[in-house]
Amino acid sequence: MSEGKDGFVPNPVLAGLVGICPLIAVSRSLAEATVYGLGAALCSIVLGAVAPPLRSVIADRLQAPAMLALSSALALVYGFLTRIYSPTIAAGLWIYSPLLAVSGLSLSTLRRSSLPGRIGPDGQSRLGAVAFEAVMFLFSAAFIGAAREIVGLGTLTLPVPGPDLPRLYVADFAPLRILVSTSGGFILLGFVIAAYRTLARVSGRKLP
Amino acid sequence: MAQDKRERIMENLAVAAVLGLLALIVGAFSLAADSNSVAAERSAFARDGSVVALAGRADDPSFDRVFRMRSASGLSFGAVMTLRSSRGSALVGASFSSDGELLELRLLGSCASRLPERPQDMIGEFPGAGEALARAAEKVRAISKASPEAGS
Repeated sequence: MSEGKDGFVPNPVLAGLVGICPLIAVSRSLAEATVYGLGAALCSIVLGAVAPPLRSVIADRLQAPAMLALSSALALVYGFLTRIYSPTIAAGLWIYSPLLAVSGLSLSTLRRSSLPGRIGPDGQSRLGAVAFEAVMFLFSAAFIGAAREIVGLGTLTLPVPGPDLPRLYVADFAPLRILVSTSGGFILLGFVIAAYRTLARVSGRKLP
Repeated sequence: MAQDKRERIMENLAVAAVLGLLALIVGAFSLAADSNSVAAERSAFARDGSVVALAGRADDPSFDRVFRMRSASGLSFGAVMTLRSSRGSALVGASFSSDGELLELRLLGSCASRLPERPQDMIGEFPGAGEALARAAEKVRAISKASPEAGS
């Protein structure tokens, strides 16, 4: 099976953007973004571990719906665990919590992990690559959430258990409230992507 | 041909069984989260020696349950409500009298929103909060009317 024909993500660029959309909707604070990023990372790692053995057990035509169903179940279970951990954060994630299923599936390395063999053509463990990308997603989510909250509201909400979340006040006023709105989140994401591409070019990496 | 068809049916049945198992696991976590929420909301209202009991459940986007609270000052009702805006969300504990009058609004926790000092001013901060409180008051009135001990 070629990589282009495999399973559950039809287009990596589209899937990547679709996976980022719910993150931008919920990453208004460090607490929400970290909990969402952790959920997407755990979801990806579990799917990355389960995909290869699933491939040998389930027929090709059923692999895509099976992975989507597993991803949705993981997202729902994580949503319930979030409600137990902190009802305030769960209220913040709201209807976007089940969209962890999309974010979890959107990592590009996860697609490759469904191919045969535990080691990829680059000599790296497929599950290791998924785990690395999942952790990077978590750090990116936490960074975007922290940046939006600090620059947008001048505060930093910590993701601790319970309803009452501790808040650090970085400024006495809200410096740039637009960053906390969804449109502001996409503006910040544009700057983050531009900075990433600039750094990658400076370091000599080839970019499409 | 018949063998192929039978194999497909068996495959579909196996996947359906796995999906059923997944649904059971999700359902178990849902029950655990619900019982945890009931306990957490009850403890949020159990102040000043008041006895708190679950009075009813609601199918509302802003609150799931209504509690009956009996204290030295009398009978009242409470609901933990979620208020949302594009800038953040907050959990508030709203207390009502038996006839649905709002007695107290207490902030339990919030995410990413610089909220006003006084909880009462939060109603203006979150669009739709007034309507949500009105629906909660309506639910309290309905429970209070249906309950034989409402007037005591």
